[in-house]
Amino acid sequence: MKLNTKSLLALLMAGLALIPLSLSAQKLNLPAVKRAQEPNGMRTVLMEYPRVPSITLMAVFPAGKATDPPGSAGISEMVATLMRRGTLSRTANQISEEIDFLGGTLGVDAGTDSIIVSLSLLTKDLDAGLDLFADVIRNSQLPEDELERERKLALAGLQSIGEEPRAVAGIATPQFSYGDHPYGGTQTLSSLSKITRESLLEYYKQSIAPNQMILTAVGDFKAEALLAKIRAKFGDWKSADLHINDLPKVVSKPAHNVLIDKPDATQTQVRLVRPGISINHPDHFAAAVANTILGGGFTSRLTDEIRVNRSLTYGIGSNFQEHLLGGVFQISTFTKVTTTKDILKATKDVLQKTADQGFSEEELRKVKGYMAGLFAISAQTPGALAAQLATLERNGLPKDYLITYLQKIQAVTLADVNRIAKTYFKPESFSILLVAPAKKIQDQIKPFGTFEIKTVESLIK
Amino acid sequence: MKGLRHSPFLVALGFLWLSTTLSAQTLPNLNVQRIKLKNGLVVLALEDHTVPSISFYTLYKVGSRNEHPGITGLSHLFEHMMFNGSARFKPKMFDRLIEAGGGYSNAFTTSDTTEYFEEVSSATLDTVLQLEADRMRALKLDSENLEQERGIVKEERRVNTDNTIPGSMSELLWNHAFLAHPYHWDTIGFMKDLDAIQVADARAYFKIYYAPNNAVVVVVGDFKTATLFAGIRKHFEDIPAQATPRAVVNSEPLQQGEKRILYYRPAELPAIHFGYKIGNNHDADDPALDLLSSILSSGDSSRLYKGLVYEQQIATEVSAGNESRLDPGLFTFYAQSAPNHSIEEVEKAIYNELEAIKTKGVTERELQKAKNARLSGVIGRFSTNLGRAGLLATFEAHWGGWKRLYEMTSKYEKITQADIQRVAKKYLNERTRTVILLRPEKPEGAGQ
Repeated sequence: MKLNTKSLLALLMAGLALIPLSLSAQKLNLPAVKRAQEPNGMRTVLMEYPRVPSITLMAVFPAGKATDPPGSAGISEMVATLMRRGTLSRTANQISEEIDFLGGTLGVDAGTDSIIVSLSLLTKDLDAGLDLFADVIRNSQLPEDELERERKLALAGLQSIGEEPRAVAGIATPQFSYGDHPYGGTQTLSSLSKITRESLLEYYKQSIAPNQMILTAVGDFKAEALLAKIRAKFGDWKSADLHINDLPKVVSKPAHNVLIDKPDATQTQVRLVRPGISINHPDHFAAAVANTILGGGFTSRLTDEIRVNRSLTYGIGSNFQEHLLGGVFQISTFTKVTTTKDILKATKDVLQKTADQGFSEEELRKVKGYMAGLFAISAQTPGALAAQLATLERNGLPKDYLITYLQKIQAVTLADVNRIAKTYFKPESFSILLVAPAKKIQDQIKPFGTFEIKTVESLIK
Repeated sequence: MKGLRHSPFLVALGFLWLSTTLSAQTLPNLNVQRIKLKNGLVVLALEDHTVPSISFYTLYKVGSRNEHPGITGLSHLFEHMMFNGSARFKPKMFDRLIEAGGGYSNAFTTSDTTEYFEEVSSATLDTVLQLEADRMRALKLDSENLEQERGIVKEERRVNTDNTIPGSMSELLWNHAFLAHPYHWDTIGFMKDLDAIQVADARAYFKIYYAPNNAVVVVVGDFKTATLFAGIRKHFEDIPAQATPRAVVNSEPLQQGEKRILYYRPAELPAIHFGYKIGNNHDADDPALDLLSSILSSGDSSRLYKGLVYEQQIATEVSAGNESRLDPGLFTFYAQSAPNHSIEEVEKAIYNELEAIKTKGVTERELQKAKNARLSGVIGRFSTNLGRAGLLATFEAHWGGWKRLYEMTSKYEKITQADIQRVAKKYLNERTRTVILLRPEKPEGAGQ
């Protein structure tokens, strides 16, 4: 059924149950985590969570965009897609049929710093699911005919991306944010046409190996019993000799505005981006708190001013995108073409005021309560917990990250968030990306500096 | 606001189960307490002390089917206005009180219903009772509130309907499939109606539809029922009842031939969206149609994906959906053709798949797969406080009593292969079909 709603994000959050926890103690009472390492280098991180008779497993590998070879953006994405399209003993159709019949999900996703293979299903189906999961990880053939099929689909996807301004902004943002760094890469017509099965197999061999794998599992199981099953499936997998390259850090770029021409759009998509921090940065928690006051929730400064006071948009939000090699701070929103200037000015005014004057004690107190509640809600399901564990293990975050999160948030001071505001929220430090009909907004955007005008075709070629 | 369809939260939703025993076939008994106040407000309470949290859910029996030409979109616009202040609470206080307490609120509107919810800590129950009762009694309905949300909702329309092809084609399909029934318009409303709606329209709407006798309140979570009911009586009982809203008349004439609509707009690839007339969501055939849509398009192993996208490679995407509603709705299909393949070729391939089901039926394994997926989905919703609250509210408001929710699994278990074949033959009939064909144009000179 089609829904029209106050806000999409919160609606998604709303499906989650809560587990027992005491926020007043500033500590999330999560079940203990059991870690182990196998002779072949594989590491396991298991959390028994018996409240629900289901299990999520996630195998995380250091791969993803960060390791796409230069000029070959999208290799990791293609490897991820093809991993569930045929193994030594199963065709793509057999894999789909088996997981669909169980009513479960089996996914392979390439991210910025990782490839994650995930399996979610009911406990009673664990053996069947684990067999499929291990097969996809260990025995993928990345078949040639599947590559051709997927290449055609991806090319068609690129061809039609210009139909929706939001999608155009989506493919333009990585390069706009990270430039020539591998994080800035996206699949293009030329990068897709260059992909060969050999290049995929080489990437797969270098990335998907037991000595690279961290396996997290959360759900209804006994850790000892699950570990025995995991060993039976992965114990004889031989570790690989890997040549691991040093990866380049993200380099900050000076502000540079881009306007992508979309002549028929009736709404302007707006992204403001500036250099941010890596996920291991000491400012991680202070940045999270400052960001939430500025651009998280319905009472944030940006939502209050741009949506509630000015009715310029249906949604505005901000976030620190934190990765291993660096990150950016980003604001996203949209408005009708004729108010493009107004939304840019109003957003910059909020940033200027925040950078100049900082936050209040009252805002800080309230946001801590809000973040504590949302964190508890967001860490309730086996799937969400397994993902959290995978993220913190992959990024080398402290092992007690989840259970001390509330304390760390609580410890953030007004001086901390005001320092973040001064460092990261100065309006002149942002680059502006717009997707809009160029002719109709050129006069409006003059006050914001010069814009490089690009076509949608130039983004995908 | 941004594309969140692939959020990990959504993936997780299908796999949540209750701590209580749940067999694969039955739902657990719920110890629901029900009261009806003198003003007609029905309140359901379900204690669950697993977590120190409460889901507070309010359903109003109103949606865009209760609108008329000139005020289309008002139900949804009104939903937005519900957060902007009431007699005792100034604008902005609603979200501030909820968020500062570590919770959140939201709402949604469909053609049939408008639903509001808060998830808060147990200690915040009384605050929520006051906020919800005050806005039911005395929402601040003035031009300041209306003008604020008018602009926001128009942006919502631009981002989700006007500037997306599936969104605009969905609106067009219902525009053309229905002539007389209010399903003729989309819940978001026509842009010019959004401009024209007046405060007086909102006031009239509030009086008729936001009356206690037109609402159901459901509370699930960590509270004592006696305390809750005392609080409900204190805050809600003196809100006056109103006359029963007039029933929606279904004046839709019988469709006696296919309608084909050509839709020209800037686009790269052709697409098709079409629907067949079906019964309402209380119809005995509705569960079989749900399973049919799953067999056709849920997962990579479904008939349409496997046939058109994977094997023939003539479409980039394809989907089917049983869009049944309180009044008769549509069974719909959407597809985008692959480069160098015509949309007519895709259309024909879909009809061939439907013909195969009509003549040969589906396999036992396909049917079981659809039932397994269905059960996962139902159980998933059933296992959270908020999910149970929403289901209880829906069944209480629209199905003649919350206990009917137990049928959500049993009536699917009974469906046979013959049922699937029968409903395919009965409903997927070209004479009641409405087809929207997207004809791509170059952007230059197009649109406004």
